[in-house]
Order: sequence, then structure tokens, then C-alpha cells
Amino acid sequence: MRMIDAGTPHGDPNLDPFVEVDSDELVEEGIDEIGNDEIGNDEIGAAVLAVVEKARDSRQPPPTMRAVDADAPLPDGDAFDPFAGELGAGDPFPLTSKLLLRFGAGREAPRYVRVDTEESYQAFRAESSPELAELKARVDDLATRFAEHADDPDAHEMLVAEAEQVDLLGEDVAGVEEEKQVDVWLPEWARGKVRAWREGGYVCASINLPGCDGDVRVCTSIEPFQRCFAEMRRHAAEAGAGGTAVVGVLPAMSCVLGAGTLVKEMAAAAPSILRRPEASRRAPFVVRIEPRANPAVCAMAALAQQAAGGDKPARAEWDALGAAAGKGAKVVGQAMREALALLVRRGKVAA
Amino acid sequence: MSLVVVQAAAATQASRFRSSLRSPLEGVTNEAWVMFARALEVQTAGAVSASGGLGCYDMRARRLVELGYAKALPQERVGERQVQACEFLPPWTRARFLTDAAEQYLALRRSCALYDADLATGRLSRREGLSRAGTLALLHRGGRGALLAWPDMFKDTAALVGRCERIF
Repeated sequence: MRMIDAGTPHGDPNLDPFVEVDSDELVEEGIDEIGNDEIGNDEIGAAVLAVVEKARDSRQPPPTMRAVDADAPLPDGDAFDPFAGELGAGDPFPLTSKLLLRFGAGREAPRYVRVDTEESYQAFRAESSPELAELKARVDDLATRFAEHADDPDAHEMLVAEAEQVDLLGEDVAGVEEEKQVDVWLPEWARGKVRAWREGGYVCASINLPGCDGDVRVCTSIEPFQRCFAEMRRHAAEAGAGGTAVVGVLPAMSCVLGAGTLVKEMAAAAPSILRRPEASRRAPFVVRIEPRANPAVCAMAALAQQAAGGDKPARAEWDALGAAAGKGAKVVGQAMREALALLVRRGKVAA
Repeated sequence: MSLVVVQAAAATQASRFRSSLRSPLEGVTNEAWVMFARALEVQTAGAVSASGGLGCYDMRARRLVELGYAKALPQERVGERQVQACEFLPPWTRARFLTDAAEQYLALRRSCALYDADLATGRLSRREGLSRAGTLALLHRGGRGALLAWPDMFKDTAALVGRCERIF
């Protein structure tokens, strides 16, 4: 048999449809609505619905969040993700993995939130989008040249032609920006106050908050697309959904999942963000938001409670985790001890 | 919840999301590629065929070995057929592959792209009377041996090739 140079699975960006698509590629390849007529049929619709429901059931509302200095030391719990990458039947700790997911543990990176005024937000969005940044540069350049040649009629004619080109570019950019939008379903009152989009390898979301001076503050945060996608793949696997049509919409579903997470967490942290001293000033600033409770400890506590309630798989997994902790998984051991102490304090288990 | 409400919810959820599958084959549109991939879906994501093919695209062990997911084991008898066996390599396990529909699609995509590249460079030769899609379907189901044996093939292989023939 001839061995072919296939590389490692899902390692070749040219063969991976789910790698990040930059905006140039979006324009060149004209990724648009494919097969929507097909995915509208009941069978596939039901499969998509099953994935959505599995995602919903596997998650918790965000815990109470707090805003801290962006440079503040990270809590230990952020390092807790001993089972990252495991999936379905290959996961030695499936209950724990589910609970970790539910409680939001195992983040790859802390969540930073940029807080803007409405004016600084417009500038920030223009700078962070390559297409908008290019358009802004062209418009600024044109405006400068118009001002310099205001009295030269020949130059004026030339610049008008160029202005028309910039106008066309503006239409193109509007189209690209439209493509980046993530369609988050929102109640009527939230329309216009929440925006979600995809930029490069990130899902981004902004929410408007009322500042103490009466003006709007816009909070923005980002989530790596690949993380959202990995989670949605997991939900699809657990829902038993498969097939080309379902797989094809997983990236779009992942963006909605990621944007939803961002919006919920920023909303949960809103009071704390607005109480920050920087929020009283009219300048952009960055904070880090984190759960007030350690999600890893919450997950361990939930597992311990299930085990104490007579759930045999939970008991077996708790014991297996204890063995892993004994073999050097110190973070796991620490989380287990804190979880037990928490449950004892609350009278949920005997000391 | 009534059936009508469930169906409406399902249809709404499905049409809400846009598919972003891209053709890995030069000159083949995204639409044609999606149609081709759907034509190769012959069972559910967690199923194993009588020939030992895994997942909704009935990926054969021999190809999974070539793609780097597994290492080859000696052939084994399954019913009346001698089929290639394989052992998955970390981080993959057989169970994990069977639950991950996205990875099954990626394996199919990679496999077809590599076969197509071999056809383009002449490492593999197209057979007269077989379209590009039909050739890829034949290779997907039976590997290089099936291409050499063309037009002799199993009935189900002929049906699969027939389904794909006119897509591109």
C-alpha cells in the first residue's frame, strides 16, 4: 500500500473548511448561502434543532461576574481544564467534562472587555476591521486632497472621479461588513443595543450599557472561533446529529453560540463594570471579567453532590478523579478539596 | 409541544444558519461539492457498514490509514468479505470518530481532495465513461483497486457511482 503525505488530520488549512476565513477570502470565494433550500427540510431541520437544544441543555446561565483590573493576577481556576480535547466516548471523565462545560470552566484565556464611549467605539470598530480601516484611510486622504486643491478646477474633476471609486469601495465594504454579522436572536427591546460579528479568527460582540453620566458605554469582547466550534462539535456529537448539511451549518451555529456567551457574560458583569472608577471618565478602558465563584469548584461540587446522592457513575468518576489527583493532578485535587469544603459548609454532605 | 410547532421550530432553526462548506476541488462549485458529499452519505454518523466502513460516508479502514487517522491491522473476515482492519491513533479512537460527524466530513473532504490531486497529476488515471465525480465516488468506495477493476464492481458501488455520475 502506498502511503500518501496526508499530514495529520485537520492540520492542513487548505483542506480544512473550518479554518478561519479572512475577509479577502470571503470576497474572493464568494461564500454565500449554499443549500439553504435543502437544509430547510424537516429531517435536517430536526437535526439542527437537536444540536441547538443539546447546546442549550449543556449550558448554565452565566454566574455572577465581577470586573477586575486587566492586569490583576489570574485566579488558579483558569488553569483547570485537564480534559481539553476529549470528546464523547473517548473522554475518560464524561460527567466531569459536561459539568465543566455547564459551569464555564476551562477557558483558554481570560475574558477581557473593552469599554468605549459611543464616539471611541466608532473609531475602534473602524480600526479593527481591515476593510473599514482601508475605506477610512481612502476617505481621509481624499478629504485632505480636496481641501488642498479647493481652488484648482482641473484637480477637482480628477478628484471627483476618485470620489466615485471610493463610493463604490464603500458599497463593497458595506457588503463585507454585512457578511461578518452574526445573527443573534434578541428580544425587541435589545435590538440596536447588541451587535455581534466575526472578525478574522474571533467571534466578537458589543453591548450598550447606560453610563453613570447618562451617556452610553459600549462593552466589547471576543471569543476564539475555534473554541466555539469545538464546543458546537461536541454538542452535535452528543445530539447524535451528522451529515453534510448539519456539519455545514456548524460554523454559523458556533458563531451564535460564541456571541451568546459573550453577551451573557458581559451583561452579568455589567454592574461591576459600571462601578469601575474608569467608567466615570470619557475614555476607553479595558477590564477583565471573571466569575465570582470558581467554575471548576462548582463543577466538582456538582459531581460530588451527584455521587453523594447515590449516582454510581458520578461516584466512579469522583473516585477516578481522586486517583488522578493522587498521581499528580494537583489542580484537580485542589478543586475537589474546595468543592467538598463548600458542600460541607452548606450542609450538603457530611464532613 | 405539538408536532406542527416542533416542525416549525426545526425549519426555523435550520434556515437560520447558512452553510459554509467549500469545495476542495478546483473547478467544482460549492453547491456541486455539497451535493456530491450528500450523495456519499449512506448511513448515520455512528454506523459501521457490513464492509467495515465507518460513519455516514462509510469511510474504509484502508483510507483512514492513508489519511493518518489509524494504523493498519491484518485483514479480517467479515461475512463473505475480507476487509482491512485498523487501529485508531491518538487522539482518535474508533468510538470518537463515530461520534464526530464534523471530523467524518473533514476526512471525506481531505480524501477526495487528495484523490483528485492524484487524478490531476496523472498518478491515477480516469477511466473512459466515468465522470470526475463518478471516479471520485468509485475511489472513495473501493480505493485504487476499484478504479483498476472498473467496470467490474459490487452492485452497491455501482449504485453509488451512478448517483454521483452527473454531479460534476
